[in-house]
Amino acid sequence: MLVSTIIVYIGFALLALNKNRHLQQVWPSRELHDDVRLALDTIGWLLLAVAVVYQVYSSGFGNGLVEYTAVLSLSGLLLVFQFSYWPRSVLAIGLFENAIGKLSPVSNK
Amino acid sequence: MKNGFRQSMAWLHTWTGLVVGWVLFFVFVTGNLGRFDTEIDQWMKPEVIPQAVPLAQEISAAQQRLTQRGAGAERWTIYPATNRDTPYLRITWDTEVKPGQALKRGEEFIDPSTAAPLDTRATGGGQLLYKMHYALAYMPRSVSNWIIGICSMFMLVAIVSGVITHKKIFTDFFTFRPNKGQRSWLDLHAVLAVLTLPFFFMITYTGLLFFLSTLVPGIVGANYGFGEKNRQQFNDELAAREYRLERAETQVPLVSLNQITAEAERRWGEGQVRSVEIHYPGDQHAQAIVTRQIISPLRSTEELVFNATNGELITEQPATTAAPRTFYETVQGLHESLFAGWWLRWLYFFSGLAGVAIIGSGLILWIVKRRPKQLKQAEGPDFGHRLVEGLNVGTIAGLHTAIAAYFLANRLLPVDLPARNEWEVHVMFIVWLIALLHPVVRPINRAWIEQLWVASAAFLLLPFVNAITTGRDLFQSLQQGDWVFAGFDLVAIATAILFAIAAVKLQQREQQQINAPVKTKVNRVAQEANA
Repeated sequence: MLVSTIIVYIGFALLALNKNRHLQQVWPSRELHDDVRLALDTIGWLLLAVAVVYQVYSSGFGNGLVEYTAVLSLSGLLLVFQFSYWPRSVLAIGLFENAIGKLSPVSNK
Repeated sequence: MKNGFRQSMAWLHTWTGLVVGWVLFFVFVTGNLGRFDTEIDQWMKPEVIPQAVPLAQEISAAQQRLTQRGAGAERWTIYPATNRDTPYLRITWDTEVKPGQALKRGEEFIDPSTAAPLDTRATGGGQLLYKMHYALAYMPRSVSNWIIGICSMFMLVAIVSGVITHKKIFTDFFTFRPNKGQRSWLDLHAVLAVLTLPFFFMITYTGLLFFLSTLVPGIVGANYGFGEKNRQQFNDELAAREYRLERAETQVPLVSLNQITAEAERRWGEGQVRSVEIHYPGDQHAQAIVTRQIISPLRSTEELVFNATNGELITEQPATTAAPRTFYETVQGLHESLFAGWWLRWLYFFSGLAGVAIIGSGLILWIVKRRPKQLKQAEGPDFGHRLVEGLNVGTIAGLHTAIAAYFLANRLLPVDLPARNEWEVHVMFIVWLIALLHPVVRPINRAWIEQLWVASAAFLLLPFVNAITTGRDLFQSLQQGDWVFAGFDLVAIATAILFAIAAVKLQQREQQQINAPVKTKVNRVAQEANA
């Protein structure tokens, strides 16, 4: 379950950063290029899908779905409270700060 | 009722949630503790530490004890200590009191080395606390079934109408804005509900299904007739129990049950026997049904049916036979989470805590939304408003104090007190009653602060009282890897810290209100003049 927790967490983090409110909690006064938005969205949803396949594959259909649901709630709530109380830590746990910084033409407002 | 679909749903959500909110809060808190019912059992019976003994020894002891206690019973059941749900060998026997009526159940925990009942203090344990979430207390099941059934129905309505009312599920998916008053309460209420919605919906819907035969008895009754015997026939047919026999009314002694469980272990592997059920023990048609460990949400398991007078295998039953039964057993299994290992069990627990917080924040929101208008009234807040506020304090803080009192009573009541296990419950409900009455005599802000501190103190007291009365303190438990006791102490301390934080926050807010100049018209004019 730890593996799928990490996958779901990163997937959720990408989807959240795609929203201006949360992006600016982490990087005040920055905006993302449309291509990057599409990439975040695609990769985010893809990771959520990968996690469910992984969990069903490793724990069986019934148990896998239950565990996946629990993992969704846990990762989501963790992110919610990180964004509210310690936004920079979202990036500290995810390893994608650099990746996003280099791949994307981030423009200052 | 308001015009417009969403407004109507908002109205429905507000009022269905409010009227049953406090009962549901109780149900969620006690039910959620039930995720660790057998761990709490062990904490509440500190004299007996579970020991691993061979299955054969447990079965022999159980059979010996049941022969004494359960003579003439319709059914015996043996639960050997082979899984987390059964820390101690347990036996039950069901006896017919009157034909056609529900059987009367006897129950004992057995010491496998002496075949005598466990020598421990009389306590309801975690089981009783968990049973309160569907049976409540001080009332027969026929009443509590209806109360909980109706409350669950309201809950389901509140969930569906709540989802419809929530306008920005995806935009606000990760949003919580702290320190913004009503906005923060609404955010918290919504974000917890959205992120745990699958759990929240599942637990309510499946909880409701437990009361199927109470709430809609006609579904079975129309085809099978009413009463216990007809319901049993329906269950037997659903589970395809064609092997089942009537009593032969000829006495034949039971075979040694060890022989039967040994055969089951040979087929399934060691440690796979979950329970052994004996129908008509002592009769010529006695049958023994062995069930297997639960490893998935599907609650029913494979069964081996033996002739209990000669130990021959009659049939092997698959885990389930009919699609409706598979559905029913799966949703009930999801609710009970008997299959869940440690990691998943804790996630169930945290989802349940989120449920507690959703109900609590909903009750508080009702007040926060109406408070400004109520405070402006010349004669003060209405009776209804004060009632809701009082019930909130007495339930959200007070119920927790009452539960801590239940645990403290387990440690502090004299061991030889008559009806000791009942007094544990009395202590819990007396404390809760006091907590509910306390806001009547105190200003509401003070009532909150005082009760939050009391709850915090009560939980902080638990590890100390436990250490003094049992000698099993936190450091020792941690060193010995005794996670049942260490976990209990740590959760108690964490709960105490949470209540203390809430109390401090409320005190700070009270202080700010005292320091801030009153916003009267005169003051405002004076301030503007100064500026």
